[in-house]
Amino acid sequence: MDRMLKNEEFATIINTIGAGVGSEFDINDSRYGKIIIMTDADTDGAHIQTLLLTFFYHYMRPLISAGMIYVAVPPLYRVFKDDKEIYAWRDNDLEDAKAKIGRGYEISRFKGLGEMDASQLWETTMNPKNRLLVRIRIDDPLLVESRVAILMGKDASLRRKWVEENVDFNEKDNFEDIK
Amino acid sequence: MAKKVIEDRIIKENIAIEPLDDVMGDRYGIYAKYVIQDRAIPDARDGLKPVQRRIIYSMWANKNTSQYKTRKCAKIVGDVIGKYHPHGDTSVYEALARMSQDWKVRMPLITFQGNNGSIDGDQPAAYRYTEAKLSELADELVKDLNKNAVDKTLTYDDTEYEPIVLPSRFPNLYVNGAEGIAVALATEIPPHNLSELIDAIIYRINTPEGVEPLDLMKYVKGPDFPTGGIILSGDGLKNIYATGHGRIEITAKAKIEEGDKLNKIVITEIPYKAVKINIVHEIDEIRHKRVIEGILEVRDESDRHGLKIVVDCKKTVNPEAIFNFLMEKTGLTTGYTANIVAIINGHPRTLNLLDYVDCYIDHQVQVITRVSQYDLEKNKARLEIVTGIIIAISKLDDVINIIRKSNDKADAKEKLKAAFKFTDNQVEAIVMMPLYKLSHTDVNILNEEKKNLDKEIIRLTKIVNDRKTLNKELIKDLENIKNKYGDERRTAIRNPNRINREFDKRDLINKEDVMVALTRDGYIKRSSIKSFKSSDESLPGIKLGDVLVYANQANTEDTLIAFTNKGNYITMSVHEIPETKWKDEGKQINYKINYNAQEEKIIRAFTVKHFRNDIFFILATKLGQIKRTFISEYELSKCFRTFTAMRLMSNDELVDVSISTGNDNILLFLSNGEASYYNENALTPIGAKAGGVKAVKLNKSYVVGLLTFAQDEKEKILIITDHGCYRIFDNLHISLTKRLQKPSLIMPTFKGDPHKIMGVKKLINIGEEISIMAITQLKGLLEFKINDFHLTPLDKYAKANLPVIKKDQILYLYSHGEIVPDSLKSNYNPNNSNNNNNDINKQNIEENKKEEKFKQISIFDE
Repeated sequence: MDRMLKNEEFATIINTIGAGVGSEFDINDSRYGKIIIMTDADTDGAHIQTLLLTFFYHYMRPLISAGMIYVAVPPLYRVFKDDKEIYAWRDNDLEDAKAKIGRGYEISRFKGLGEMDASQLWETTMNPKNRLLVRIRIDDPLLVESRVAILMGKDASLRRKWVEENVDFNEKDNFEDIK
Repeated sequence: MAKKVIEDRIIKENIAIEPLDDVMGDRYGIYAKYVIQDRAIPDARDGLKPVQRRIIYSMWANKNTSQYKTRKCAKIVGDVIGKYHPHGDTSVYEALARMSQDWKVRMPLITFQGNNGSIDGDQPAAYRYTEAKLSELADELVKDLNKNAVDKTLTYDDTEYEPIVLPSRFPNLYVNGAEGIAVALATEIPPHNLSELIDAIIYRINTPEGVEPLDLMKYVKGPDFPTGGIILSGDGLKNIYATGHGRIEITAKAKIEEGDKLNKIVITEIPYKAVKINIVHEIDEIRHKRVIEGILEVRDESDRHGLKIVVDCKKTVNPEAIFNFLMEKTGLTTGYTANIVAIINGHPRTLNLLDYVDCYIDHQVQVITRVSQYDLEKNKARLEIVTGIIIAISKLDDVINIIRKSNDKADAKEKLKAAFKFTDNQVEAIVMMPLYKLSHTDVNILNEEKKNLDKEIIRLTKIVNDRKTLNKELIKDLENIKNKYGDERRTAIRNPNRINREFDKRDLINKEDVMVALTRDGYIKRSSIKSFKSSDESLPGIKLGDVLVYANQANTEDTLIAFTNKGNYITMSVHEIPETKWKDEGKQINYKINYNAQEEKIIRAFTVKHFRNDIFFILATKLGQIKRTFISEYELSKCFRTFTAMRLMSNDELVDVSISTGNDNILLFLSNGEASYYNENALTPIGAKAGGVKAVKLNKSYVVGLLTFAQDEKEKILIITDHGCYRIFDNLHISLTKRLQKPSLIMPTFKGDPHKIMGVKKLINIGEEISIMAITQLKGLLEFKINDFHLTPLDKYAKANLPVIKKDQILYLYSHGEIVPDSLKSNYNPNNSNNNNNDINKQNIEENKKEEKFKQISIFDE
């Protein structure tokens, strides 16, 4: 806990939310109704999401219980032609988008938030009208506890076992078909 | 909160709901997969992590190879980040520099120009200063990349292609090793000798059946670290190759140079991954803190010719002992745990030696097949053209005619095809041919070329279709690489059983005579003989009211053993005793040995060279218990608290301890002027923790002291009473009895002037006058001079003859302690105490049964 509090980013998050931390956390003091985790859509972004979710789970769990923690989902593709453009979040959205734009479309693929400029980011990821959010919920407290313990705990052998059983090393995503 | 809900209704949000465990698992899986596959773990085939592969590929693509000039590292790093590796520049530069560091990798893949760091852990110079190119060996990694030797994939921004693996014409994974920490798993692959690996691979190619991983150890003897050193072989080594996981010990290579004035330990190779400056620092700490004696100085003499750490040692200390101590206690010996994990087909796998060799062979077969296929097609295409041109030249006039009559190029091609059955490629080449090609020489060259192409096509076709031919090709390539780049093994492999690392810590002590002093209150010190002499050889400084228990010469090799009134003892190596001036008070033993100095007092101390098992300590208590125990029973490897010297009954205390040689006579003094004199064989030797047996029948008296005499020894004895009477007699005056027989009265006292014996001393080598230091109750420290050494009759009544005033009394006498000489002859014969004294033994046992309850034993006693 002490080590965590020394981390500047966590300290900023705690201060910004303004409802304390750990046993002193009081959800009624929260300055925000929605707390949205927004990271790059790449592998390191995925890692940061797990770290932040673990943080909220351990030190501000009432936020999760009240459904106030969200993960932002930036779009994966932008299909465009001339001044028409459609963002696609999933692979089947992509097919629809291609059909809507019609022949001669171009596609760009987003890998990090940094690739989007401010207006694109607003349009796709932040604007409540367009954005896609995932609300985090705890369905099975025991399952959550054990998952967090395995993935974030001290015992590397448990983690290794989990990785061996759950990570599919066969699938290789080269995006080659999308050039 | 309520307000929030309303907002949600106004703007219809796109919200999916997912359980936390799913989100965690999903995101973590993405990250773990990436780190394992694409960051921290090398590919088994080329032994490279993605960042390394990208650096090498980028350098190859930019013609930054061994035959060209070096290129600014900033440029290399920039190209790698921009085109292939969208990560931090620092990690790319570190990876680049590491591949050039000849203390980290066995065969550097990068030739560096400028400061690339050091074995002391220094960082390389910034990348704007340094330059690099691929090493000659690294050219073998990328060889035939332009011949479709390996698959390629789109780069991260889909703008270019990069290889997913390099052709790696030498077994780089094992040659240069790897280390990496991924998620949930890590890898640690030691470097190896190129020639040995190639021999193993060739053996495997020639022996496709029935090979076990350990069979390959005939060729691969063990890791071969760039830093040399010595591997201590054992099961750990075999485990590495049989299972991919094992632990070995590596030690430094060093030699001892004995000189006239000093000895030197010269270290020329240190264990892999050891940081040299840390080792130097560790040795210097040992010198500075005097953990062992004898190290004068440690110097780092490394220069451009190589590594060299020199430890200067005193002539007086065995250099081998220092060497062994340093080997044992510093980074000169390290453990190395190999954990050979690499990526095969996208999966992290732990590889044994055979797994790796097979994986490497498979990769090479693919590379050679693909390259041969590529060359074959090139050659076939060329043959087609050459054949066409040869035909065209042979019918040159016809060809020229057709071309002259044609409308244009296309028409000419069509007509030629129709006339001579040329292929498209052939006619294109023919119509584009320059006229000079028609000269005589060039026709010959073409014929020659056709012959070669035919041969080459046959050769390549065989390689592609026949595995045996391919194997020969592969073996030839490997042998060429071995001959060109192979070198001698640098790391020696020794059987650990042949290395004797045992050392006697006493060998590491600077042997010298010193003065040692210890007091009743537990103050201890040692001083140089010089300090002793400069204080006129007087008594050491002690606290007011404290009593000297030991003040004598000792050698730094000796051990001081001191007994306390609580029946405990402590030991301390003389060389460990803090050194001060003779006149200083010294240091309370509590600084090192934990005991309650307020309640527990030191009564007797000895210095011992060896804890022998043929001489005894005899211990006597106030309430008349006695035991004898071999000195060896009191030897401790470490002393950080008090240990039991004799189990005591409650209210009893230890009053005296004496040395005996195994057949001495014990003279026990009682407070009331009696003494009991009997042979020590009346006591069965017992262990240190045991209690004693009854020593003497007490008559309202208690035991005050104990002396031992050899069989033919005749010695004057000084007795001092509490009220200041001293007298001298000798041991022969007292009649020898059996244990527990009535004691003799040696100093009767008047009832009106009761004296109690409080101290006894043997008078050895007496001169004209001796001085007795005593603490009295009222006056404190008193010094008595005794110059009359006439014997006093035993029946003479005690009367004060020392200047002790009435109502005062002597409490303690100073003692100088005793040195137990190694030359002391043992007279012990086990039969004496067992057979002749059977009755006594029986008695002992019964007495022990009857004895009152012993006080509770400390829980710290083993």
